[in-house]
Amino acid sequence: MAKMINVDIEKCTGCGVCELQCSFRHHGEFNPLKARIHKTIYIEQMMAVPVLCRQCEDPWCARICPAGAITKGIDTHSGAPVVTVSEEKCVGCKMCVLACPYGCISVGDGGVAEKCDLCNGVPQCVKFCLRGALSFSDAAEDMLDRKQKVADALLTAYQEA
Amino acid sequence: MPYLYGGTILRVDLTKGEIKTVPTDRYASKYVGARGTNARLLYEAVDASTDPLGPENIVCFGSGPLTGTTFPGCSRTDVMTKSPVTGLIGDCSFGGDWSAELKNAGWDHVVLEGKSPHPVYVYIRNDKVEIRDARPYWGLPNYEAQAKIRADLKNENYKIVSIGPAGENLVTYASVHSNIGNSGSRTGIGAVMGSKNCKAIVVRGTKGIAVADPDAFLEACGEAHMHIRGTEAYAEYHQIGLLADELAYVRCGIECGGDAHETAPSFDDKFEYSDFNKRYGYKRTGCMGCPVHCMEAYNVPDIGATIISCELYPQLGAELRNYDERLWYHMVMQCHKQGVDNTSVATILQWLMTLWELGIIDESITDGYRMEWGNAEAIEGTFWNIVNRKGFGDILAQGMRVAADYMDDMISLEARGGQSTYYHAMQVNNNPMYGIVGRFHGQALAYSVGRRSDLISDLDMTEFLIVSAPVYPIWDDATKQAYTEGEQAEGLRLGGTPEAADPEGYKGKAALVHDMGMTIGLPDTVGTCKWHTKFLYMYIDAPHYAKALTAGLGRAVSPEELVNASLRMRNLERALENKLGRRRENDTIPEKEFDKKVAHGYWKGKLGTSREGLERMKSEYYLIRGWDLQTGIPYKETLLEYGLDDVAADLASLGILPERTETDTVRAMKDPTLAYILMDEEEKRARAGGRAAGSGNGQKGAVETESAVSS
Repeated sequence: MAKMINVDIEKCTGCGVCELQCSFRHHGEFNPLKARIHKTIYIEQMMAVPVLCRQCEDPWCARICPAGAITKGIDTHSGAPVVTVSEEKCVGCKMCVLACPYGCISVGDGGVAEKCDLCNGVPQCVKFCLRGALSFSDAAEDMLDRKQKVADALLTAYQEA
Repeated sequence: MPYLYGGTILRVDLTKGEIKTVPTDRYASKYVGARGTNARLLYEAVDASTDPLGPENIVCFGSGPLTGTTFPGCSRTDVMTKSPVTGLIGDCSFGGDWSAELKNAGWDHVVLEGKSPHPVYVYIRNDKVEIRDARPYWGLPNYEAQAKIRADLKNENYKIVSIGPAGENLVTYASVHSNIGNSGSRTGIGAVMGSKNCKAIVVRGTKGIAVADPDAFLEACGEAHMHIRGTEAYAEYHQIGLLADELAYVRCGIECGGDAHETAPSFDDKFEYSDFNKRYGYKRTGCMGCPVHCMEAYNVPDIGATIISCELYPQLGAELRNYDERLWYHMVMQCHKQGVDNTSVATILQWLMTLWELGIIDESITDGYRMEWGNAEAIEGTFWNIVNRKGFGDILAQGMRVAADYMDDMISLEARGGQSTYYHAMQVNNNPMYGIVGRFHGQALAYSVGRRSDLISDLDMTEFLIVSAPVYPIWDDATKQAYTEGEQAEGLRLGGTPEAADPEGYKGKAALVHDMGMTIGLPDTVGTCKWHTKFLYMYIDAPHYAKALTAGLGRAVSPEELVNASLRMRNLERALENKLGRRRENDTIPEKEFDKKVAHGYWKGKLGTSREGLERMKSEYYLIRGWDLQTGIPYKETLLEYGLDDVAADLASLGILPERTETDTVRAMKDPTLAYILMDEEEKRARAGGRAAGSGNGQKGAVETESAVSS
């Protein structure tokens, strides 16, 4: 399986550095609202959950786009699957915004659709995520890590028993 | 919109319901932002006659130029007011994400003025500012009030700073609170907000923060991040937070080495916070954009979730000989929720327990509670009486001075052992202290001269490390030695003498305390976290801030300019405190703490600060700062040097502006390592009975004070 941005909710502290980096890279300003990743903070539980584009296998945004501006391809730098918007073709009709079940595509001040483009193969949100809640890795490998965590817990329980 | 700044200061007059705006630039060009600008705003608003809880007092909330960016520690909000606890400067800084949101809404500072006729909250959504009815939220604890406001606004993204019932009830040491665990606790800012009938400030900002040169700015931030991540301190704090620090401080006696343990059987190993952490801690957490994550999130069954970090561990626990960890956790959480300063509550309870142990007070005073060490009923009952202003709690809520006067009236002088009950109070200018740190020399100085009658802003971390290294829980012997030697070298470099780093010494410590104060002033003005400086051994310093500001503002900012701004701010704050009545004699530790040995832990039976020693350190400190040795007021020449001409004129009109008449201070200001030599010479001259050449009032006064004390 190819690389994608994975989220480990357990590690996320909600510090928001991903949002700051994302908005800064794409818009040159620090503005969480313009970021393409958003962390929802659950204050009472002190948990935070980042949500960002899943680069769907069969993206609804691409399917609905009447201008044919959204395509599924492979990022040349990282080899990861990525859904991209052609700024030339996009007419700003916002059908994609309606279609995306994750709320991860929007039309900003530029009048064209904006979404996670994996920052030319080096996602800035991942680079600055200091607790490692975000990783840009092979999803299957990543799941192995989680399986190992379960295995560790089982082993500990077995040895204590 | 100007680079890095929101551009405007918001002034909300709660009496008239008016909103005014002031361009930030009027202040920022000279005071940078955050604590610097707040100090200036406060200076212009209050004087000695201002009633801290009257409508004429103001509360300033401020962000700095690096707040809300990717510079590490970008989350800080500085809050300043005239304190109802000390009558001097009240100042706090809290993390979270509130001030970043404020700046995103286009505002750098919010100033609350006047007094609303009924409970209100200030609503800010970008340019839209409204004073709204807060009656539905009045009386609610912090967590619940914030959740209800968010729910009613149908938007979870509002950032809120609020007061709890303690602030509403004007408990003088009430706090302001944001999110969970981001608290501006010391010096009673919550009470001032409560006196204005202002429950909360609710902010949503979507404007963004612009920078002049994005690439260079990103590089500067990346460099600072990498610098922090390269330090050994980071590796530790990132993994286990401040827990190891706290355990070391408890074990060495700098915390929990005081009154609570004078007569206690040893409590070593009785309170193992790391065990609690293993059972109930469920993750590490931190503020916006911070790489360190210094806080621990806990969730204890049947009590709930909250954040605990730093000195919150011992205060309501071992400091009261309270070893019931569930009670301790519950009390810390209630301090957050009810909006009251954890430190003040703990120190006041400790005071009552000391008085009880000495047989000075009994149930007739304490509402029937037996104030025995660790008595759960007494701890919790007194806490609720303070928050709700009931019975004796109503007196305690007005602070230690008022409570002491009340008890003195009730108890005969004989029963009090010939002393006022205030004698036993651990306070500096009526501000309850953190434990017994005054028995450690550097901290005694830091506490005495500290700008808000507190040590946290001018600290001697060199001493903290050296006294705690021998009992540091996670270090091996080689590490302990390496750290200790590193700090000894630092002491020698800054203080000019090995004595500066010697826990038993006095000389040269002033230079260390001064340097820490100057360093902490940097993040405090640019709006980032002081934890990242040498304060917690992560060594972010003026060049890092200068590089980021240069890239962000699009104009050259030099490290010297920032250091200068830090010193300017400190002199401005000092001048304001002097204007409000502070003098050399107010820079002290409690009377009873002189010469008292540490009562428990590694330094048991050792150290203790002498009166002469403290006076000596203070004189060195004033020399380095350029303050008059007799009064502790900045010299006219010092104020002029930092461009505070109008402040000098103001002090002159009050008749309290000293003029420099000798040259020692000029030399010490340029080179702090000389301070101890200059004071040595001064003492020699004084002993010889002769008057120093060119000695002015200040010099003479100091010498007289010292000889009077030593005789």
